[in-house]
Amino acid sequence: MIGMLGITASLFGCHDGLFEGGETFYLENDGSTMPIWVTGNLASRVFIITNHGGPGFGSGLQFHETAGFQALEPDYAFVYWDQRLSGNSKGNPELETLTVDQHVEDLDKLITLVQDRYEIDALFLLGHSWGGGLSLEYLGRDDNQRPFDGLLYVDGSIEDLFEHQVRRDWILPRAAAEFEATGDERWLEPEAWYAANPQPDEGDLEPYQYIRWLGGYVFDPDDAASRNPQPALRDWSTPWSLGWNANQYVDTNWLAEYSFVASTRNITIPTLILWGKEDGAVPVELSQHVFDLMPAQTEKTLVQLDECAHSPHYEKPERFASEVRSFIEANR
Amino acid sequence: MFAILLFATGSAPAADHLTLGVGYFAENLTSPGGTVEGGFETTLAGPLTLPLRVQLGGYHHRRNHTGAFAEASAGLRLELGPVVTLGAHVGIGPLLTWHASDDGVFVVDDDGTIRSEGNFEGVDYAGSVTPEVSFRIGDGEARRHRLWFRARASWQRQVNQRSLLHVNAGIGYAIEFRRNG
Repeated sequence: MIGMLGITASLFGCHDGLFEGGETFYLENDGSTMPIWVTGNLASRVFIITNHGGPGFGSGLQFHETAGFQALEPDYAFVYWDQRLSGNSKGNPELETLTVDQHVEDLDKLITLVQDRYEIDALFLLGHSWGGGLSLEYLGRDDNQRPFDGLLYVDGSIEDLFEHQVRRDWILPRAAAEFEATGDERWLEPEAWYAANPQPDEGDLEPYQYIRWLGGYVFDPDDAASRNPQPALRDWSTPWSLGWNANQYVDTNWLAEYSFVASTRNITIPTLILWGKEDGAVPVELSQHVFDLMPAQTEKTLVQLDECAHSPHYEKPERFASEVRSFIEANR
Repeated sequence: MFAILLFATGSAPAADHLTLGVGYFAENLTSPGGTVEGGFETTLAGPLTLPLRVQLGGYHHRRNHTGAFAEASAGLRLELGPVVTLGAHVGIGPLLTWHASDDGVFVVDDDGTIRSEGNFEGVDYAGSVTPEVSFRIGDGEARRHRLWFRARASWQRQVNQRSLLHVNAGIGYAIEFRRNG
């Protein structure tokens, strides 16, 4: 029966319907072969290179699935790519290549490749979550900002140990309130865990689980789902391998104690910092922290969104698209 | 379980025979492909047979990869009366993959020089498990034609330091060639 459904889907053209158009090619670097999908309005000559979150469980193509990015694609060209050991990247890279420096090198070569292949009048870098941190780290080095007209930094990473302090401050009062309201002893677990682990770092996954419990990734899942309709058989008809969903490399110990503070102090290109006020993964206090770290003379804007957690492009797609479009039009 | 079904079904044992078949192979359920196969099937006991199969196949998963595989497998098949059979195979074989690119695979040297590489990804070994239900078509002795449905799970090693699970579905046709049939 499942097979018949699949065959029916193929015959009737449901296959891959959300991912039509554009151009797919690959960057091979240090053991990993990373897919790049360039889509949207290439004739605009305004290109936005995206850096997805994760790492490991993220994919650049997930941006395209959101209403926020789909609203912008008719106007601008988007470069979606999957980092090593993430999404649809292939090869069998050594785990020793899981470093920030290696990701910066991968991104640098991707930018070189994209610049070589397309006529580009304006170039922007967009990073979400860990991809935001990668964007800061890349742009803050050498003269990497030179070809870019702006940075879009969305609920991004900045400083591991400090983020964990802020996350703890976000989690514990909410968990206590839930226990007070429900009496469910599950809500005692965060306080006990933090008592036993007073100095968590990126290798500890428990805080992220608590954030998920508390709605710190998506503030209103039903509302967000209604804003981002997905095709039937979505999981069976996307470019992703089912195996990636089932067996992702998600050990993020290699990111432990990362800090992008030094690079952030070097950012001089116009920057839009876009953040959900209800974000539990990278709480909103960090948006001001990043804003303050950037040089005073940098043209920077901080926008915080109500009733929005970790992914404005998914949860508040209309506002996301509006803010991004205004920023690009002002800086292209 | 098989022993119970042996007594419950009581159908005549099938003679040893060769099989040939073709099938539609759906990688990830919706990515199209095809298979051809040949095999030998011998009776173990009552309605229980041992099918041995060699299968060649290919598929295209858009924006992911194109695959071609050869697989040898062995299984058990149980005749549930004159029409329906249930079976399962375990198999292993090489899986060749190509990146599903519109243009190519590129290497950027440290000095910025860009080189184009081929789309060929490599050869990995994949093991699989394939449950099957099939239906005999035709009447009496002429019932040598079977329509089968399969769900197949295979594990490609080694991708991103992991085994990569593939889930496939298939529908196909096989004909049996018996010495006296």
